[in-house]
Amino acid sequence: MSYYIGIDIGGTFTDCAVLDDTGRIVTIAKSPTRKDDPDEGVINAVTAAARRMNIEPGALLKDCRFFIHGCTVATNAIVERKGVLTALVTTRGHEDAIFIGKASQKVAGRSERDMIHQSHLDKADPPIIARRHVIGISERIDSHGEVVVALNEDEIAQAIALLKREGVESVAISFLWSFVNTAHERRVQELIKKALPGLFVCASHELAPVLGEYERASTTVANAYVGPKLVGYIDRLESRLAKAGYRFPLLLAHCMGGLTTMQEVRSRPLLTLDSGPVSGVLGARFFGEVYGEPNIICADMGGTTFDVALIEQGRYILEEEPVIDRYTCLIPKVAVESIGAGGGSKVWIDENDLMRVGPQSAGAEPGPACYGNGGSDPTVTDVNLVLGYVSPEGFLGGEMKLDRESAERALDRVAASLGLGRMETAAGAFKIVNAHMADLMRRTSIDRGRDPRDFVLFAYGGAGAIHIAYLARELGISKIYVPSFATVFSALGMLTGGILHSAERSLSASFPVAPAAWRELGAVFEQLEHRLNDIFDQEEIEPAARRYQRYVQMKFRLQPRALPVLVNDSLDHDDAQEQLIAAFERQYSGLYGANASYRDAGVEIVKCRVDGSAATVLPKLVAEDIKSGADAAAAIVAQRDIYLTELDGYASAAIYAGERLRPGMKIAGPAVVERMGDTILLPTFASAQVDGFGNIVLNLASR
Amino acid sequence: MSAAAIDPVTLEVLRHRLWIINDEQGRIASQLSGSPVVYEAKDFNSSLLTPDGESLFVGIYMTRLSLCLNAVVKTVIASFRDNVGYEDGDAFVTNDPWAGAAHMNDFLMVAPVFFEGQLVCWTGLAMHEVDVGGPNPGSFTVGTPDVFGEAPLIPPIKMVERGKIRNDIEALVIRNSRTSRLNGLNMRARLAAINRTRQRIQEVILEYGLPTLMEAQSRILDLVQASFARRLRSLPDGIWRSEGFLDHDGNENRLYRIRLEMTKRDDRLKFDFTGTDVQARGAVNCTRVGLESGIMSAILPMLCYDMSWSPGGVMPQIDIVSAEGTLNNARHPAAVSMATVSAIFATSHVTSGTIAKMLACSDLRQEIQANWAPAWQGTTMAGHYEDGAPFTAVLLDETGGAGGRSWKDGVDTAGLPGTPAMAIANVETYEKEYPILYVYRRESPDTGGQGLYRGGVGTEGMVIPHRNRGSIDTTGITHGASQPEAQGLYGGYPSSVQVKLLLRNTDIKRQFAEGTIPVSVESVGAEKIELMAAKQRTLLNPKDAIVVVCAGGGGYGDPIERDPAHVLRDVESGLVTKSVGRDVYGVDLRTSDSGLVVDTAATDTLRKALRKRRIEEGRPVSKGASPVLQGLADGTEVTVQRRIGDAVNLIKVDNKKYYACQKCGRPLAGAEQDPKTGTLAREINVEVLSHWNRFAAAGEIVVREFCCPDCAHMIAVEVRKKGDPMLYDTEIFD
Repeated sequence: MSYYIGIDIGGTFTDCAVLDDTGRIVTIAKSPTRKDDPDEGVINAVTAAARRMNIEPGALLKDCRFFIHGCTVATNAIVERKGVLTALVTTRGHEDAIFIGKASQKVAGRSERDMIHQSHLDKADPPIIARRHVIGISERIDSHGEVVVALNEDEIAQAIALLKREGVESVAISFLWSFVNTAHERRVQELIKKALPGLFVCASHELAPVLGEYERASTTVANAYVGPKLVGYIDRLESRLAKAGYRFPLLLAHCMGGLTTMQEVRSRPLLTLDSGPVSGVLGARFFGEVYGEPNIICADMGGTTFDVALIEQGRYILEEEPVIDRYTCLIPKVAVESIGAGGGSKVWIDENDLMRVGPQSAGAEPGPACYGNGGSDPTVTDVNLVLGYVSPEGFLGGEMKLDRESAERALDRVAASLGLGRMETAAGAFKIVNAHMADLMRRTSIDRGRDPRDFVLFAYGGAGAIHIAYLARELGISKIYVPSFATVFSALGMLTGGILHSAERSLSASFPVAPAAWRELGAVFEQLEHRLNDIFDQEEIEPAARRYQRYVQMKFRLQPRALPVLVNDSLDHDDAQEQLIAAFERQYSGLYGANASYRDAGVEIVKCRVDGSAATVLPKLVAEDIKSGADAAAAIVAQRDIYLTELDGYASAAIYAGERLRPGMKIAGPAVVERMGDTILLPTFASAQVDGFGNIVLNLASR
Repeated sequence: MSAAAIDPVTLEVLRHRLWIINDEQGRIASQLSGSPVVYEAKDFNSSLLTPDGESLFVGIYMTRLSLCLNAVVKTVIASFRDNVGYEDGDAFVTNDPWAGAAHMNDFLMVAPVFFEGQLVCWTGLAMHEVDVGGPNPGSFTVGTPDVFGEAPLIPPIKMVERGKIRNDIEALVIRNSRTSRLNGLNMRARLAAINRTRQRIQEVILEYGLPTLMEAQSRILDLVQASFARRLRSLPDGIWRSEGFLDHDGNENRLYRIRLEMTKRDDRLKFDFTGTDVQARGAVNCTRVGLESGIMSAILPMLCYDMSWSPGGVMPQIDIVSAEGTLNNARHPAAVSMATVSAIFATSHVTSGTIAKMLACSDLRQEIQANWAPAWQGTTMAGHYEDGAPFTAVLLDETGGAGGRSWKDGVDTAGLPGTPAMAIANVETYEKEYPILYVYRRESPDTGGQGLYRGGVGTEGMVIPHRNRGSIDTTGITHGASQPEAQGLYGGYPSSVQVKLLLRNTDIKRQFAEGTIPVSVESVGAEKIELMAAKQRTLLNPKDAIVVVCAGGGGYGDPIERDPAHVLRDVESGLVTKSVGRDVYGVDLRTSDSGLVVDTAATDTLRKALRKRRIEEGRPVSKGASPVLQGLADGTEVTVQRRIGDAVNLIKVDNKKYYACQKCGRPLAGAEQDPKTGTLAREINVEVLSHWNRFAAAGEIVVREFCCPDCAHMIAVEVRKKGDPMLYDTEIFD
């Protein structure tokens, strides 16, 4: 028997999911996250899982074939300013670019609501790098890649002396136009590595070979800043795991939605940004493949945030320029958008006497009023308790009792100032938080030109399944999957990812492209694939398992942003150029309207990218047989009156115990399914069936 | 149609949804545009408007264009309802400042949105074009007395008919531009945004029904109006005054005055610009829509920072008094091509300064902010690439600083006020598009005004022609070049002046060949250094360099009360020079083994000396001081009624009210007088504040500081025209 272990370090818990080699989920476990000592939390979670399996941790690890890890160490290092002492070597005269941050650093990553508060805008404060550690070197390359000022090696020697003197632990190198001509960056990299072996050194032409000196520097500095910390932690973890019996290389979830090895993470530690939430998206995509659902909206609602991501035609949407605490990082990341809406979100009255929900959260301390920890503001969890969706007995599998009276008292205060009844108020708050969540889903789907009616919904995280049917209805979605083990879905998700690498290169060409340049395009693709092949070789991935997808980034001349156009066919035939332009225009018109396309402006290519994947390294999940005619009545544990917003009144709902549900069982709304970590609400317009994986699939009646 | 009842939940949902729709159309338009001034500097805005043309939402982009779209829609409704008509799928464009555009460079596109034959709302985009024709590349016209010497005006015209672009009209609209292809692309960016909005509005109607959407529109305006009125009621009643200056009209360098008296009573706010200079014989004027948008661009970020940006809800609470024919309410045929960077900006600037003074008298201390940098430091260039192809560029590549706050320094190199999302583009972006090279771009020390909390600094950049052919026809446009224009608050000093220098026949290329990069004006050898006027057109020759220095923001509070550790940090960071640290902040920095350190004892001595000098050199503002100004006997019962900035308190003694120094308690004036009445005033040499101020027109302007005669606590600093009296700027009614 061999095992597959997924570990996700979240803000509160380190989650662990274990599969066996038949693909069955063997067990899940949780252990508190140890912020200062994350590897300890990981070992604890593995130990907890082994305990549930009644084996020794060493035995579990010895039989483990793939140990896969997602974490927030990189994100936290930046957000909490706990990275290492970092220096930036850059073009003399442009040392301040990282601080000027194009002036817009003060709003980067902020919501519109925050952006309009002018007196409270600030840039990264403090910056992750000190001014005295930004070293300008005389050198200059121009936009054509020609050397205007030769690299001044005397200044490099001085810089190295300064790095030594200051005890700098990590160095980022980012010169102007280095993505067109890499020579100067490479030379400096070589000299520093030679003079100061063991120092973490990274260069912008490797990490982000694209136009824009600020974003390149920001990415390189962020990478250098988190590098030693993350690499140190993972090295530590790897050796602890090895000592404990694990025999294979550690795999890491990365923000582009795949897995990679230490090899790559060593030079690009930023790749692990947000790898937890991204892993949830991975899981949804995997299940989507199993179910034959290519278009999925992933909805993850926890205690404080609601995260939404999109999967389209089996693919994630990549954000080209994610922002981490004001710093733009040119590491494509699976787009996961977030708002402050969770179980802990507060219900309050604004100055216009309108009811508002969130974004402030009661957090874990004091938490919702019903936790009885002194929280007096009503929260979404209190609302769900008062409406009858959450059982005072059933929360966290009975581990945590809830105080309904406190929730009612808290809500009554809000109700009194609105002049409404308790239930009306609770129903109103329920509708408002749903509206916020639906707006985010709209922004994530419709705003990207996607019609949510073409999608199914995956709902996970502890707090989402109560709201999800309403969100689906709001967006016209008729089918929702609520996975089993929804609360450790990210840990499970990374077990389902394939190895994924990406390589890209700037390449400017205007149509019509001259034959020589056109051939170069083909050559660039081959080079990029070659680079990925080398990585796969190091990872010992079977050549037959390697898959490549080629994209060209295209735009109308002068536009700042380009659309990725998939290159399916060979570029070697006569009308290949015309076909590519047509594909681009089709995509463009689809997004912006037929009268918005303007070939007169000229069409050009700016970048080539190849995604390389290998999906076969991991086992498939195996479904249990579905017993037809299985009667869900056996799983009913109670009957309860719940208040439903679509009725503006009460209905009697059957309460199902999640652990008694079996594949094939059918449930009709109104009903509530109480599971270990979450509660699923089936309103009047929903019905559900349990599938072979134990996932609950909701179907919505058309409106 | 009868009004549909709308429940609060649906209203909240729709408020969100419509805001997102407007934001989305703005983002689409900017992302699809081909101009760095749009996609980086965000010189555009979007608006959703009611069927009557009231602005329901305006975007977070250039708020100095916030009322333009509603003016155009109203013009279109008034002019075309019965004649040209408007139908589903139509869109109108214009760049006419008397029809709603801020200046000719801004082409506005507005479109009605219909559902089953009924007009549901309007939508539109205002967007700056790099060039719209006229004698001056970039279309900011130097040297014209009136509008007939500027780019052609296109009154509102139907360019899109039922979804189809009319090729004849489009040709007319882009024909005169030096960048017509780009303008054509940008027209489609606007159209793409409008297409998306139409689709979104349709979705809203299918989901909620038309009557609900119509009702929601008017309810949203009501809500914002109520919120804004409530905000105003929470502020003290009174009168606040500011004056700003605009130097150079495009023909001659003279100082134009913009005077504002703002009265707040209950829930109404009155802006009275009486006393503002008559319109200039040059391109710096703006029309009435610019005046209104300028005011709105200060109101939205300073008073509506926590509500929807709905100008249609704010305007009903506002009164504006302005004489037609003045600088910011110009009559045809005034020249207006520089309006957005001149009169509108200056209007926004004095309005911000005045609102800050009102906030300083209120409980909203956290919102006080001194002036941001006074104006854009713009450069337009036209010439040829090395292959002979022409180019025209507008560079929004440098930026000023934000004003000091009552609790924190202003943001360094912060962008423009009232334009949250703006950016200055990467130098690589400009070098890719145009044949120029940035020798350096950095944060420039001493450009921000000093204070307890200093103003953020501005940038300094040096550009040379690179890979071009011939000379580059270059125009510089700014103001605040003759006078420090970002004023400080409550003892904070003003920013530096804005500077543009032309370095003729430099040795930069030789330095490059020798492997060195100059990073200051001083390190470049030049045959001649010319100071550019605030508005000037010139030729940049192949061996020349242009240096652009942006002013920072104004400071807040008395600089000699600043934490010496912060001064040390600023000097180490190169944002403040050591001499300013010593002469203005009174901080003595010594070099030790561990680098620079504060010499505490020497700092105390320095600061004492500075205080002494203030008192010795100061002259009483009013002669024959009244008895109240002589100080209070020990044990007098004093109640503090109101704190004003970090300068004075409004106090009550024996039922009489006075302004008193916040530091030592000495009464300075009766409540019916300006708080500065009992202070000592002196004029200072602005060159002490910043070496860039050597380029100021020292003969014409004065900087006066006012301090407490007992403790020398600085109460205020004013930038005035020589001979101007003290500005009576704070008059509280309570």
